[in-house]
Amino acid sequence: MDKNKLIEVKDLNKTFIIGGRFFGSKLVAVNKANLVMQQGKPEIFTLAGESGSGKTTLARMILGIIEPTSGHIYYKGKDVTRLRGKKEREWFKKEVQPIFQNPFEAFNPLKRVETYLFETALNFGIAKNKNEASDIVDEALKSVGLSLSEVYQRYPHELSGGQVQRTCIARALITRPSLLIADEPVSMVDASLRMSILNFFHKLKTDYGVSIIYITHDLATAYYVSDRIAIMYRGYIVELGPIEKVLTNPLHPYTQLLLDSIPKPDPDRRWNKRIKLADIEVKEYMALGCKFANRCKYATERCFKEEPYDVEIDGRKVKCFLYSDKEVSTTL
Amino acid sequence: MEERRTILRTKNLKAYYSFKAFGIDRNIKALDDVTFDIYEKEIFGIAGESGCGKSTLMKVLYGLIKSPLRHIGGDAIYKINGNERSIFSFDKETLRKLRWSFMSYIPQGSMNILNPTVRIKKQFLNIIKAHKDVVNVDEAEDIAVEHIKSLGLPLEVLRSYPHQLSGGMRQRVTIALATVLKPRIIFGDEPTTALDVVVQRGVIQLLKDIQKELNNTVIMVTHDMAVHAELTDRIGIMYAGKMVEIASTREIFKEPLHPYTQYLINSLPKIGDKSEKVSVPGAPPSLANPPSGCRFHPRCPYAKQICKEQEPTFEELKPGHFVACFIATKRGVENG
Repeated sequence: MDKNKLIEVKDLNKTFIIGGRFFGSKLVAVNKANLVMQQGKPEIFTLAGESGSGKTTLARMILGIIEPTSGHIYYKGKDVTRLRGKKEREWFKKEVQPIFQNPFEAFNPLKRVETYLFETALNFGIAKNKNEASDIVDEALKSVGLSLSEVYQRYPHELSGGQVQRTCIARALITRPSLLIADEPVSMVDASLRMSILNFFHKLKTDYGVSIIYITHDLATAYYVSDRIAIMYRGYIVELGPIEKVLTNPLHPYTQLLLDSIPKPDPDRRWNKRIKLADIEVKEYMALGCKFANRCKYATERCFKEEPYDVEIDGRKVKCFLYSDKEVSTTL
Repeated sequence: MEERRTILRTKNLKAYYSFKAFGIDRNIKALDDVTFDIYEKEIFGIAGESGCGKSTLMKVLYGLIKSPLRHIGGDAIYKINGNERSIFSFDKETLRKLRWSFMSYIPQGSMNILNPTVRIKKQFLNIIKAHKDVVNVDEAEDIAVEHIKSLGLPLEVLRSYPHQLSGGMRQRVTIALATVLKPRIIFGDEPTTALDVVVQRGVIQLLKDIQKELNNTVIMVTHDMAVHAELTDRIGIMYAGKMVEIASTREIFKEPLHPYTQYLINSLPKIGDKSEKVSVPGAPPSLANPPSGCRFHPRCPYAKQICKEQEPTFEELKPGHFVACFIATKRGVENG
């Protein structure tokens, strides 16, 4: 495989079976997902979409927590869905580290926070003994604007939400990963501290060369921090491209609706149109053709019967028949 | 502009959470000296970060004071059918009657208010029967059906159990339930926070429609400033158990006076704007042992000696624009 790619997700599928094994129905949570991040060119990549769109499932498959039903994930040229042996798995775990949504749940409230930092350093063999580990831990904490003396012997509840989340990030940095997967990392952090975490992600990218997959439903913070974005809807990546293009000039009708529905922090620009909400969600998962067709004002007969494919247009990929006539080149 | 009539006045309202830990009395000053008026027919927003006392304020105003929360001082006075009554003067039975019919409450997680084992229709009937003198079930059912129809929700929801509905539909059903008796005041505690943006928009749309139709007051608590911008007429900003600024939504967004509000507004990310945003420095204070003087002074870039020593009073700096800050009031005096 191509060694220049940091990560390549190829035709990744995940099907969950709801209900019994024999009588249950299938729910395709992630459907033929494709994405590539280049090596040596760190970037922040946003996976956005509403709850149930499959963004967390996709991230968990990349992390190796969930096994994909079909498809491949290549990390630095290696197929990580088929890792063999302890050594390979450990290598992958060092390279790709998670940051979770609620920092207080990531730490045991009865354990002092630094124990996790030391455990990570020792278990991954980054440090041989406690003395060596404390230098590494201190360095990781310093890179997030804290220091070991600040968090030493402290319990999670003694730190503020922002501090705990930064400690989480410091823990992830100990193994010197090339890729961080952050699932809604700021949605539990107070508004007054949110921007400091996002600014810190930016610093990680530019100063430390770490790529980040940022999963969020908040498009405003995504715009602020990331370089590229993939919009997911009902398991499909419906639009993927540079953040500037996708969010200022959305092409897919769903992206347009999503962007239009974000409340803007400006009382002079309130909504003046009305929208129709989907009544029953499971129906859309089962629907043939384009999952958005039911709510789409441009929908034609074709949309209900055929599944749309990726169309490359204006530097991005859009999964919509609206653009298939103007297609320059379809995906190979 | 027509004259505004108040429907709710609070005066120096104080409520603490009191604990006894290891023989030492501890008071969490969740609500300290809060004074403001809420007018009829307005949507009043309360904003602030987690732990600033906004949910405690809702609890006190809704008459839900339970140990360890204690009412320490001050008053909250409602105007009910022209009579002024303090929320603390009601007994349990009066409070029960007032809830749903005079004031109702929409919580964040709608599962907390809907009984999971009872069909939606039954839940409507229970509320209607408990508050209205209806002769039979049919009459109560008519009211429920009429209400669901007027809100544009599908009638099938009445036959469903709560778990059969999607999160957004459940939240809309909760709102329908809270408004079926046409209350004068609706409290919303983060009613849109757990929802997706598109669904959130639908719920906000519904809340707006109901307020217009019933011509009543909505008190809306959320930390999401963008929702406030979309929905509210006036906003109160809370910080560490205190009300620090109240003004019209426009003024809060365009000319915030309190340094904390300024940080909140300026740090909002916007699509199309990549300029660097900064967070408020420092961390929120502990309410068990709040800072002296102005509670924001340890994080405030403009803090002076006086801010550490004295507590700023809540003053009306411009008509309808209240702020508690020495720096802002002084600036106001110099300019005016």
